[in-house]
Amino acid sequence: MSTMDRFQQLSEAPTNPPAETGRREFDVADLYQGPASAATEAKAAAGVALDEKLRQAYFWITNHGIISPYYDIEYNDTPPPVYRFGDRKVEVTLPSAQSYSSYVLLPLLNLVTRRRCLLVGGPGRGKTAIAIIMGVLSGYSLREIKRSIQHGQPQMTIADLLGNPLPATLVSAQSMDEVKIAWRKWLGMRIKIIDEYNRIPTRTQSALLTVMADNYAEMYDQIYECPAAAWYLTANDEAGGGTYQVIEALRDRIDVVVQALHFNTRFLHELLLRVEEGFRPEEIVPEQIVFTGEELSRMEAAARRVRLPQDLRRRLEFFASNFEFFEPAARQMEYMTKDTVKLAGVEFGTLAQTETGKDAGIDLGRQTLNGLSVRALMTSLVFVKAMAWFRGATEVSFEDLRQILPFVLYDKLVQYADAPFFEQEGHAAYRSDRVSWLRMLFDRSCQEFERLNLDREDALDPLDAQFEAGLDGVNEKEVRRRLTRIERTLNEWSQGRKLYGHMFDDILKLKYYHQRYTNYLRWLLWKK
Amino acid sequence: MISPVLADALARHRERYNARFAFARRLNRRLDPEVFSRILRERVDPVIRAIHETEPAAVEPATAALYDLSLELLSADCLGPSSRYPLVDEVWRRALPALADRLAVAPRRLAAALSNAAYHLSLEPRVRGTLWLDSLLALAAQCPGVDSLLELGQVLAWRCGLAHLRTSALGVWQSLPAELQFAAVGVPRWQGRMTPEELADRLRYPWPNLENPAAEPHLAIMARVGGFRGFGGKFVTRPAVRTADGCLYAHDGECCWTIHADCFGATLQRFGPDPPPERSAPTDAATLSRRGEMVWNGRRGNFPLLREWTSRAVAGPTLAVAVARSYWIHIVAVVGGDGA
Repeated sequence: MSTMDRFQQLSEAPTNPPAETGRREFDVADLYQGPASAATEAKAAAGVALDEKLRQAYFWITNHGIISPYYDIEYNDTPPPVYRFGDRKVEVTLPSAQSYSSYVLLPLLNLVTRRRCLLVGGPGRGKTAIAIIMGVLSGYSLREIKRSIQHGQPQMTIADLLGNPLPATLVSAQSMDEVKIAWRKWLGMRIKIIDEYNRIPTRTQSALLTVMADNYAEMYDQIYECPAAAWYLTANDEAGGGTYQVIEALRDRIDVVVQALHFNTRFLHELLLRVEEGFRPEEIVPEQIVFTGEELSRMEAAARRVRLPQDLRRRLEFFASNFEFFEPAARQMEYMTKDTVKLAGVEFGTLAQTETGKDAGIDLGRQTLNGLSVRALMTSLVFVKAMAWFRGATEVSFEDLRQILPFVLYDKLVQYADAPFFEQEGHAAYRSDRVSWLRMLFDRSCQEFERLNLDREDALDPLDAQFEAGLDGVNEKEVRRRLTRIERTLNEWSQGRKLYGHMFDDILKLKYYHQRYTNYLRWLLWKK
Repeated sequence: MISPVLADALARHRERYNARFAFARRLNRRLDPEVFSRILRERVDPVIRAIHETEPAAVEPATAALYDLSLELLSADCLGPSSRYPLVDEVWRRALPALADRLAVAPRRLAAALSNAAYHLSLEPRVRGTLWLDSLLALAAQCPGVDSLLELGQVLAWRCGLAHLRTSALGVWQSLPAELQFAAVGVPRWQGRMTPEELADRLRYPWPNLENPAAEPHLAIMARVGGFRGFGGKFVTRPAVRTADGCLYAHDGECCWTIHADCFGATLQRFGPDPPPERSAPTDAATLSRRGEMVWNGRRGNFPLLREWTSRAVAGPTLAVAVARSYWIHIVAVVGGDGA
């Protein structure tokens, strides 16, 4: 392959095409394929699959765009070799299947899902550079992208962010709706880049929140509806530092957090070449990997269609159920949540100390200050589907779930750093390495799920199936039988077992079924 | 000196163009800025000037497309002084300026397609690349759009010798306007007062006698393919031929090729390391004596070249013969009529 082939024709897709052997059917169209790469329109006409195109974009960025020689999203199809280094026996695995750099992959998945990605890391790590490349991949010129970047700074006003009222209409207007606003151009773009968002003053953050959360901007009673867009925000310190404290609602809108890893000094020669030859990757993105607005929409729809198998959904449910439950928070079970403690303004640590006797290895909820919100769960579903789609699969795999969850929950699951778990030997590093901590939580949750044999014998499965079938035609006798079954299950569970997070949700669901059947039974009796 | 038109277009995106060259050079240290400057001056500039005369608004996108494309072709040694494909250079020198009006519509697509076609035509030893280019330029006026021009190019490539494209090119040929159908295969409309349907009927047979349709069908050696690799051919040892699944194969112990031949030319296309198994013993109606006397489909021929043949294979109306003292494979056919 010639050097220019490597530059223009992009990388092979990760799914290796079968070796070409045997008799070919010659097509006259082959006449126009060759050393000169065809035009964008010809490629589009050839119907390059969008997932293939996205993989080509990924490999182009990792090979030529961003120096990120890391494979922290690991896939294996055979047991990988593992090496251990140093006193702490630090493990390094050599993945046996195609693995990825989160720093490039997650921004691309964010482009597919059109969500909000926060890039964190020290200055000069290429956070803005990857955001700009995403903008170029979305079909904008470099100039448009650079002009559209909103640079957070302490003097940034709402007008700087959103636009200005036209002075003429401001003077002549008899009412607010006659004021015309010159909206900032970036509001109408498919890519939105907010650089150093934690340097934006609090009041301007609130205006930004409206755009991020509800996709519209408002000034002088005028509304600007923004198109669906992928957001990229950067921050040097994601822990809330910066010139201004980031308001919680804004932080909560961040869907995925990616950390810019350090520069591997063994790649200094790459920097040297860039210095000597004056080449900047964002200026030479091949046209073949640039997406149109319509393609971006199709990608998003295609990723949503990826199936999440029921057994994986159950594992995700089980994992998520670990965190919200907090027994000391209330007397009534429904209120035994961390949210109750937070709303009451009570010191979490004081209450946490009253919880004793539970197995710290099983009670994962003791390591967090909160549970998972509906938004966090929905974002998790969206991103794991996008990950599977990126890999060319039609359904999510276990590893997709395991690899992606830490990046989505990075900011969502707040660590309780004073938990006894982190005092144990070898666990202190989890306080700072959140990706590993979250992955460890998921792994332990899965181990418990398997220990309880829930993938085969889940007490709620038959009850779910019965209820899903509907109540039409269910007679009194059957309803009473189901009520008895629910009561018997609850009775069994109440016999001397500790109460853990997953049981909390199960018990409340049984209570829900019980109430629905009770109401139905009452209606049946009234009908008689 | 380049024209002010190209100079302005390059200056407008100077950083981008410089970055592209710097990146290309990073991947290919042999890229010489002087050589690339000459290509811009001698090949790209005339095209941009021609585009400026027909469609000034297209200058900027055309400059971007042709800059990238010429850089890519230079890096691949397909353009420039070290190119082994002079036909590609001819395309840039003669065809692109002449096709400026269509290039203005789809600069990258058209320039890349024609460059690639020239590259493929250059790869086949007995293909008439210059005829392809001359015919394309002569008939281009009858093709108003880029698509129709590219379809004409495909048919002409088949006519100029790329026999392996026959089946699909025939399909494209049928979609051409009637006047162009005749011209594309080199048959004057007046000759024999042939209708388009009659011409289509004749072309369905691989060996029509287009020059003299009324002539009596006869046996003839129509082409030879292969040759010794040391002299630029394909084979390292003397080849053998065989038939499998209605297709002709040649193999030399190291590699196997499919043989494609019709009235416009003959080519070998790489198949794989081994020939496919012969499903059954070859049964053909041809007899070929060791003295080169052939009887096939009731017709006789005397071919001294085929004396001491070592293997032969038939697929439809085409007979491939390998001989003892040659690295060439000879293609025999019943020329004219429909082969019956």
